[in-house]
Amino acid sequence: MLVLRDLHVRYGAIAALHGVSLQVESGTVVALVGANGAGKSTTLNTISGLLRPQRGTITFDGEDIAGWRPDRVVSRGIVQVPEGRQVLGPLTVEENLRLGAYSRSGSIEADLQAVYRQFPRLDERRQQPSGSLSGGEQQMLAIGRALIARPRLLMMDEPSLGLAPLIVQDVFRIIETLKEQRTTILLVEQNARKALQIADYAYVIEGGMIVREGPAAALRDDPAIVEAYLGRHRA
Amino acid sequence: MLDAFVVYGAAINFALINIALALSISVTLSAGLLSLSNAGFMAIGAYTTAILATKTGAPLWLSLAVAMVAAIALAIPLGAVVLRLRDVYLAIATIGFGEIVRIIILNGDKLLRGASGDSRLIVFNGAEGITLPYRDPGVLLGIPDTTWVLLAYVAALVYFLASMRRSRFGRIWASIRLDESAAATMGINVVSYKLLAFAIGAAMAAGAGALSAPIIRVIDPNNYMFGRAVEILAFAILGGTAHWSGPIIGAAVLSSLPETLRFLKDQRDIANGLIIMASIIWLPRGIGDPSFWRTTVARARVWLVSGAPASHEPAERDP
Ligand SMILES: Nc1ncnc2c1ncn2[C@@H]1O[C@H](COP(=O)(O)OP(=O)(O)OP(=O)(O)O)[C@@H](O)[C@H]1O
Ligand SMILES: [Mg+2]
Repeated sequence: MLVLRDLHVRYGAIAALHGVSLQVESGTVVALVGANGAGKSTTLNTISGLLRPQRGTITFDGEDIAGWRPDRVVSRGIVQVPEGRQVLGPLTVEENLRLGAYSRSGSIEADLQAVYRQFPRLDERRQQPSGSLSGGEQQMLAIGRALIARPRLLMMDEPSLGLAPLIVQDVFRIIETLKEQRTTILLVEQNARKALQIADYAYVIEGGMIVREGPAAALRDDPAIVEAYLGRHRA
Repeated sequence: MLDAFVVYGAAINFALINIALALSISVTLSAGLLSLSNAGFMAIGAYTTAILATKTGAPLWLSLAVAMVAAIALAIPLGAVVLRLRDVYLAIATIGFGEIVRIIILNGDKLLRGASGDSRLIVFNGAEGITLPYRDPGVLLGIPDTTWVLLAYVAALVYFLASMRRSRFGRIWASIRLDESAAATMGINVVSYKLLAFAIGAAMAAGAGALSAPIIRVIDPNNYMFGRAVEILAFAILGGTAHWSGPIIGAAVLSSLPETLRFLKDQRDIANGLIIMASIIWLPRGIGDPSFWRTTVARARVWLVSGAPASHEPAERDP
């Protein structure tokens, strides 16, 4: 469904990606794990069109979308839940959700209700400025805002970042539900343990390059991965 | 009523023109664009009326329409270039636009003479400008027709802006203002919606300029310089842009200050400046900020009832 081939991205003089290649099959959850500064966000932002690659292709359903404007990428069904949530603080919960549906045509009322059913805490806070929500609620809103666009591929950038352990569980439960609904997900996480538990397939990125890939279950049990990303104590 | 207009008519007309200009800049500000092009577009509107009236005797509604269409036609290619810039860089580029408009007005006749071969052709009349003949205004319900036209224009702008804000356009502009890249990842075509705000603001400013010409009567380029552009921004900043009433309050207050402060004579400009500074420091969201008035009213009510100042501000919440 999504194929990245030999993607090179730089920030001015700094090269952030040196030939990233990866693949996401329809209906699967693919994890992209790696340390701080490895290039995870850069990869997602390049797919979503916020960054332009110097070289390489991004093929989505057979069409090369590399270098497209973000709104065109979204209109193809690739929707990103950005790192750090990025809800629009002064706007209300409902306004944020309606903006999420911007790329769609037709009535969104049913989808709005569906999001409220899935996230009852948002329902109670519809008219509240989204900036006044807790971190966890803001993450729910960011996810709800992406879902209301009816994504064909959902990209999540560290959805557990900065959340308390209990809330992290909630977030992963939501991802689990989305997986059961056969939503295609590209999941970026530093919390490699959780990501590898939920994903079907995984890539490990280091210094802007993919250094390992394989079925998530295999990586989970790989001593080198355990050593580098999952912590010794678990081995 | 008419007596009041003999005394205050000019001040009221100028305040209404300023209100229309303040509303025009609030459109670009609501999309997060710091554009100072409104004085330039106002000049285009004023000259459209002046030239059409003196050359063809066209009625005001026609020059209003021509001015607004011309402003949109100019704003789209201009915006496509300058809206790549942000913040203070955009401000500088749009000040540059105002200067270009002024230079074209100053030297336009030379160019037109060269192009037409008529060495005595006068269209813009350089620094001297165009003087419109005096016309006795008609009076309706004690109010001159020039004022009615301005009132109707301001009312139309308010209606238009209030419905825009409630619609998805308002949400989209707010999202671009708050976080451009988040807006883009939600599928919003940021470039197009910025351009739309820029063109609407330009048309509104040009319309204000077109309607101002019969009132100002002497249309010369010095009216539309840098100071004018900054003044328009001050209206919107002082009044606040959270609500459509903010720019109206800001423009009304700043337009009436020089009159109100007349008794200060030579110190007038200093007092004027101090008042603007003080209100921006203590009311950074503008004197028209609805939540400021809500808390003030609530506090006053508590104070009146209990005789003591309220110690807690009520939570800010939009209904
Ligand atoms: N705007 C920028 N300008 C310059 N360099 C940048 C910029 N953003 C990221 N980088 C650099 O690019 C590299 C990859 O950054 P990226 O944000 O993709 O990492 P990441 O894997 O998402 O890290 P984290 O887990 O901390 O979010 C880093 O070396 C970073 O310093
Ligand atoms: Mg990151």
